[in-house]
Amino acid sequence: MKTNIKNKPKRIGKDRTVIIAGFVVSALVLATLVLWVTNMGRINLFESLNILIILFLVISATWLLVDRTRNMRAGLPAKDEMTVKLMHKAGYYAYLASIYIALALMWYSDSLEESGGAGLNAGQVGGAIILLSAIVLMGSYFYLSHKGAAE
Amino acid sequence: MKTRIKEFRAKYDLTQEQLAQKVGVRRETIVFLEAGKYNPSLKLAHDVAKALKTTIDELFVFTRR
Repeated sequence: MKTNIKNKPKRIGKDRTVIIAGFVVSALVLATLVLWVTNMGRINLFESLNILIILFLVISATWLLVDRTRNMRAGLPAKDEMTVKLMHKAGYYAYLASIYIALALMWYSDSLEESGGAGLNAGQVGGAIILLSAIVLMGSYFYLSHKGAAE
Repeated sequence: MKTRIKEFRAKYDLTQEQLAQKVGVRRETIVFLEAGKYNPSLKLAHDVAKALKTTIDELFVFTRR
């Protein structure tokens, strides 16, 4: 059985690469959001909700990356078996949530069409599922890591 | 699950961060282990016991719920 200590240098290098890639992706998402908003003109309610969700996701991802960087600077691993278990559990909740979100959106789109309005298109439904399940993933990860409930 | 990690840490004058460094986990993991809120894998339990120069059954007290 290998111990954590023996794999330390290799793991730190890999963690550093993942953290740098994470910061680059966050910066790119933020830059895209700024470009999108500046070229948008008038923003409707659905779009402003999208902007808020994306901002929440970028901020929480950045917080996660800063936390990992702080651990690495203290000579500790960026993630360990507990954080991996927490992320798996949060992922399970996000998967379940995505199913219910898809069902709710289908029902909402049908009710819009029945009342004479235009239903949601595939892009809106897909985007909403991705953004809302990402919120559930990050939200449940923060809640579970605060409680320490990995099982 | 009850643990005696705090007691052994005090015996060897180790902080939570120093123990985390020895074991190769984050400090939060040691905090939750000490509080008995997190059930470690056999490998982590072994690593913690080794770092505190004791055995798993000395360190962790398993109770049936």
